Amino acid sequence: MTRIIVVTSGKGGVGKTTTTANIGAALAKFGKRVALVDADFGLRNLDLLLGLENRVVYTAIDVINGDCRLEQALIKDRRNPKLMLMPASQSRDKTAVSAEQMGELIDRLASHFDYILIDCPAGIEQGFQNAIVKANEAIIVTTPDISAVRDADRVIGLLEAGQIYQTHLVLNRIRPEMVHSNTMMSVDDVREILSIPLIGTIPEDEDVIVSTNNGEPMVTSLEPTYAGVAFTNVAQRLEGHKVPFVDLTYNDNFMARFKRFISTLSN
Amino acid sequence: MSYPPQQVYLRGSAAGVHLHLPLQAMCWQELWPQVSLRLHSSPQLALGQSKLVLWAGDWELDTQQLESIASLAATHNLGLDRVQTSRRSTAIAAVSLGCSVDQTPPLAAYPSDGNYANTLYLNSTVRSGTAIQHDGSVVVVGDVNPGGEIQAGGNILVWGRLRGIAHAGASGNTLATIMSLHLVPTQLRLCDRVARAPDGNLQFPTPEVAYLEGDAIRITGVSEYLRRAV
Repeated sequence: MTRIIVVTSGKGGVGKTTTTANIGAALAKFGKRVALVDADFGLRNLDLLLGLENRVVYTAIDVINGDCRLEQALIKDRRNPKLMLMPASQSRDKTAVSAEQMGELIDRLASHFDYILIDCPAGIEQGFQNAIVKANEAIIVTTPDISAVRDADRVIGLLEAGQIYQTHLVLNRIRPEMVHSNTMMSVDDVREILSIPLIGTIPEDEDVIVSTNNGEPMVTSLEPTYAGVAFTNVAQRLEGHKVPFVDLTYNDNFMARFKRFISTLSN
Repeated sequence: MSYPPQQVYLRGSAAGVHLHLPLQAMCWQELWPQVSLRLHSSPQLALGQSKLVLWAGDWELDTQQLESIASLAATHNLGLDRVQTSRRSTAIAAVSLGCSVDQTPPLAAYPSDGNYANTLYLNSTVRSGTAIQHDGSVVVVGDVNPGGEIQAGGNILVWGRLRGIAHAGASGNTLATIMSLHLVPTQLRLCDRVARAPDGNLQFPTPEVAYLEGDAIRITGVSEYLRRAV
């Protein structure tokens, strides 16, 4: 059965699109057939992150209006043909599509793929309702600050109202040195509030900016990056593999590491 | 006691489970999350198969909306069996789904012996944006997160962390209390009194009670509160 997963957050700018692109690319690397659906009509970004902007001819709106066939709008990724993108229209806004039309589009895609990842727009209005209409799972992306966590909490409630109870938490942009100095919420603080299963912790990484600007997801770049490894792990966990979480505790000196090493021996 | 209830209301009887829709001005988009939350957070429903009676009152529901209520109910072991409505369109939709229909005036939808002061038992986290209103007492097994709100005519008991807003004794009961395993609310309200939680966290959280003493809201540990009553 196709897993239809919506990537959402409530708040904007926490990394929904980056997460969608990287998890999608990682799953495709494992040999899965993956469709990425950009549901952010009017503010589309997913094609940029994948470096596919110049290949967009038709968009989801054209498919919905019957102006082109489904296959014509789907863009094959230039690195991995198993990864496909359904781009959003840039010239229209969220009210251009109804939830029924979006649902129909997802239904038509479902038979061709193992995974459908839907990049949800920020906010909880029509665009959000459209994005979640056919999803049976959700990835909640949040950053360790109270406004993002508050919005994520609201969104989890709305997903439950939409009968989506299988939710996974991705905690993005963690800065271990700030957590260590108690100036940032820790992974446990966030988990305690949201009380949904954690599927990934992504450290703050400058390579994200580089990767975005190059249109090359981190998980497929040749140079390994912290965030790239963390996103690959998320994809592994989605696939049901047990992967230990990257150690994000901050050690500023050798003694701290040594002490921890000793304590692992005594266990 | 005010009725009809302000929010979706669930009760049991020998005939099965009764789902009452509120008579308040509210749209389907607001109603649906309430129906969903109430069904999902009622642990009693897991006990076994039962019939569902929907008291739709003045609501104009189309076939699709009734169908979504029926299929949601089915996932909680409830078969939609009867629909009470004062609307012709709702009645037609119900018949087309094969339910029996009662067409009674809307006020009869709320039986005069109806006990709306039942305790509402919620087996879920009350998340940001969720507002629970109930005439009786409310028990939450889970957390009340910041941005979540509970308003009860009676007491509020949170078997978890209370971090949102709690308003007990909303209809004027000065004996109402708010209890929680970890009381760190955004705001506490008892009758018409409002209090902020003290700044700073207890190092070791203990169960606490908020109650009215004279005109002031007091907070104390549960064991001290109980000893005080003796």
